[in-house]
Amino acid sequence: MTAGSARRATIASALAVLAAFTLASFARASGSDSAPVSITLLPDAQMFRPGAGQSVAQANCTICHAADYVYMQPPLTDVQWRAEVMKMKTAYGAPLNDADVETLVAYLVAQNGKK
Amino acid sequence: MHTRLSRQTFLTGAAAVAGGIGLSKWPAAASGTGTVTMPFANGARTLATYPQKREMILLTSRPVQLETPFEVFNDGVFTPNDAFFVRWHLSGVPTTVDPQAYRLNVHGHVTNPLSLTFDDLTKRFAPVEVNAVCECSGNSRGFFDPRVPGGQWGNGAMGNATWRGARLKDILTRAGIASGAVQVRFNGLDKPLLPQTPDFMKSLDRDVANGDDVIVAYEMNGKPLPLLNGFPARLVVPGWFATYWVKMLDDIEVLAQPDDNFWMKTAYRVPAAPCGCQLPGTKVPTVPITRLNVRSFITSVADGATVTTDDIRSVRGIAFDGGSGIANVQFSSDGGATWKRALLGADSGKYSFREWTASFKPERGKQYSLQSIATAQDGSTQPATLAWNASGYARNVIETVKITVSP
Repeated sequence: MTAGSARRATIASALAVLAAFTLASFARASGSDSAPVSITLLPDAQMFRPGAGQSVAQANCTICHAADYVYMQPPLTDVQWRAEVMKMKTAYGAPLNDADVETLVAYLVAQNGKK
Repeated sequence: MHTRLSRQTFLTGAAAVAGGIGLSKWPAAASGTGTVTMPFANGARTLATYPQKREMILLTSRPVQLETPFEVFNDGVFTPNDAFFVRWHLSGVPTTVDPQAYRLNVHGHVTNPLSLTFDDLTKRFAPVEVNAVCECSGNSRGFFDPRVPGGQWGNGAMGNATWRGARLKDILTRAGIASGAVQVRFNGLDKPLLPQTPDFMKSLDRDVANGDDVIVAYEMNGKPLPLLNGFPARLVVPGWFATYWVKMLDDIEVLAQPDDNFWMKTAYRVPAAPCGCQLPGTKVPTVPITRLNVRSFITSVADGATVTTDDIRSVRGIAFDGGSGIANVQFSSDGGATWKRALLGADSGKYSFREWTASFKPERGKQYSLQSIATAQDGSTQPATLAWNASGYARNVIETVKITVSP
């Protein structure tokens, strides 16, 4: 860096500092506060475990959420899991075939169920 | 205060000169080897460090939900941004957000539709600050007995922050609410992955939306919001459950009729009865969840801890309610048989956590059931038994912390 460019850089920095102070007196949320922010998320922490119906769960549930949504639940009854499956199908639009409902309910009960 | 903030702006300005105003790219999330086990069935959790966050309890990975480790609440009444809980409903959460491209559209039943830039939001409206608790409707759901399906949170789906932003009322005034408007609906940048999945939107009655304390916040504890907490701006509805605090808010629609979208009509509803409760297995009339109810927690000692008489000479905790303010907190060391008044800490506002302290001199070799009960300025207090409801919302039963004092 030449003396000239260093001096220009110093002047530019000084002006930037002055500008920053001037801005600060009017509005704080400025400058780098409005820079884009980008993050990277973790991959799914859990996968559906082997069992009859695993492929149905994989194909239908993981479109919208990771398998941990199933395994964090308390053990649920057959009736409770059926209610969850039907909520996903009717309220959230999971593309689950009618023929696969009982397969999925049985799988969920086997994975995380109670009597 | 002003000096500190000016310095902060100076530093970020200087950094911008040095590096150019570029993309703020954070290290990828990392799942650590640490685990914790919540005290209920299927309570095993891994700890994970997400961008802009410290190590937190990973409830779910997609959509991501992170719980604040409870010991954070003993560090002070304001919850650090990097420890603040995270809850998303839909997997289509943008992972890059550019405030320059951001627009907040205000439309519907208005006379002057707006499309505000981030600069408009921060510079064209008088900034206001409010200290307020943000609590998930389902905070503490994991402790429901009998258990209910849903996000199985411990007590860490809550936090308290200083929120700074533009008053919603000022934005609505500029847009000109047309006569006949009844509600205001809020939508964020997050989107469902399937077209048939209802987009996450929440609505407030017009008079609530026009409240002086409701703001579109672009700062949290003096800093931009972490992306996972709703950068660049989120709705802050002090005293109301977090479901209304729509993150990455980019759309405000004034409605001429009550909102009947799924997230209002079907989800986030509580029993209409004054207790907010129902018997397991029954179906009851429901209403949308609204205000926080009064709660208190012991933060200085954990349930199940073994302590020495040197460790413990007092017990500390926090209390909050839906905006009337905390009137008093009582402390019991004998499971609620006898109570004594705790000393309240500094008042940071009626929507904030309020610290409390009670002296406690335990004897060696004994076991104690520690409890606290808060009473709010509006006279409401905490029930001795859980107001059970099928969705696991609004738990505010008196909590118990059992400790053993070593011989």
